[in-house]
Amino acid sequence: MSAHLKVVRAGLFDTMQDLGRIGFMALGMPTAGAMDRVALRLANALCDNAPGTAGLEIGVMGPDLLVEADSVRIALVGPLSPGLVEAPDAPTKPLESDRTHLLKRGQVLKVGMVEGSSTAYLAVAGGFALPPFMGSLSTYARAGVGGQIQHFVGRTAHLHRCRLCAAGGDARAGDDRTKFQVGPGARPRRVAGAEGHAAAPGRIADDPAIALGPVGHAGRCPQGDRVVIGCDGRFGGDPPEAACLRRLVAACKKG
Amino acid sequence: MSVRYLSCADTAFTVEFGNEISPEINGKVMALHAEIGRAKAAGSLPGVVETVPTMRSLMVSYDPLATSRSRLEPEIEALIARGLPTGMATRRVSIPCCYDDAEFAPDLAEVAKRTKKTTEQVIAAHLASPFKVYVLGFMPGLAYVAGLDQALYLPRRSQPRVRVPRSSVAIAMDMTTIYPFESPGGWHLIGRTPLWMFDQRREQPVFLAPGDSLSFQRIDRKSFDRIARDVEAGTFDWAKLVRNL
Repeated sequence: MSAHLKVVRAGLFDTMQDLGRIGFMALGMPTAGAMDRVALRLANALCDNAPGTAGLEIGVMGPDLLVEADSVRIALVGPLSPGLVEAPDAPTKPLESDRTHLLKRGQVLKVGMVEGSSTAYLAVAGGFALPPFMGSLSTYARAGVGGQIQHFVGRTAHLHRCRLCAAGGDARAGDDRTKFQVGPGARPRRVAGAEGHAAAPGRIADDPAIALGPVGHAGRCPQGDRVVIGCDGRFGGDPPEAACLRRLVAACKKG
Repeated sequence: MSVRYLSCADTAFTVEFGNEISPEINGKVMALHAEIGRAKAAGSLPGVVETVPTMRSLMVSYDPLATSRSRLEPEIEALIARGLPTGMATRRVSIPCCYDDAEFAPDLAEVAKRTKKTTEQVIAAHLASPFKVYVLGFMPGLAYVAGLDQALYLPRRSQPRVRVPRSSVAIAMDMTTIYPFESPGGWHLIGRTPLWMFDQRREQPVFLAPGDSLSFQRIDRKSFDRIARDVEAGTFDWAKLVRNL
């Protein structure tokens, strides 16, 4: 049976975005792509997706999504206060952002508001099964390219029925032996429910509780969830991006 | 004028060949664009992401983690020094345009008044202009087309419109253009084509290309409606508008 996330309520401006539609500027085609590429990469790292896998960029307010799959691991990254409705008429249970959650059939994920002027990202393990246009899933609204989620509520558009790839679901849930390398400058934080200790920066952590890596930047709770652990800023990215961010932050402080 | 190199932040630089709209200068831009494309395809110029041609300059966009302007600039100088090929393949493209509907041509009367012509003379001058596509930009498929009859030169409208309908044919300065989407715009709207300059259902979503010679062909509202239906349905035969030179 195919797996879907069904849009039961739209957010304000939520769009599919990957790292951009590269190579067509000569045709006047904007690159589009995620506004906060580090955050999208983090969301993908949490889900074990390739860095450029398309995720949902949440602008101002996120959608409510009904899980129509046996299970799906998702990651939310950004300043969100999401909630989960586990059964019809059940109260909304708060969820943490910056980590993964394993969702089950019939649950409704309420992505909620983005705080401040920032954007946030929703990634799903395995990615969204949508057809790329010019090699990318990024939304460029004016040309009607990509997916703007508010267009899909109550319609039979593709995001309405977006499938999760076969490799998604809970394939990773039991895999708690993955090791993450702890990146330089990492400042691991304790995570509610997580056990054990973080490895020192630069070391491989085989403790599943918390770790941070140059690629993953993700630790793991015993439940199989992963969390973002901030390094010298709110998020880390790939090392060059993180270094770039650090320089920017330092420059801003000086200026 | 010698070639100038100008930085565009840390991910691109511009190679500027001149400061005017001319087939010669734009030819150099397009030739370097093609040459860098060939070099990239052959595995040279690592770190170059893409190049973006404009009327008189080429933007070279690169991955700053893989290369730098200082590394790329000498390689591009060497490409230019070896001599750029000229005489690219071009096409002659015919664009059907309806000038006769007030809804399609809200600025035609004003253009006529300001250029001291009749509306028929304005239409005739637009039809007779030897247009050439220089560059695409602003929106996917929007072509900057130079060659407008000098008698029709006007600055842009002092009050831009918030909404210009898709496929509007417009003039401003020494150029004409066709809006690929509804968008804001400040050019004078003198007609409308039933064609879509961008259609994601087509294998080549963008219809026009730099180097195309363009001419407009006058159609009436009935023909407009007929072609518009075919374009909408995706059954229009685009090939019949194009002749390869």
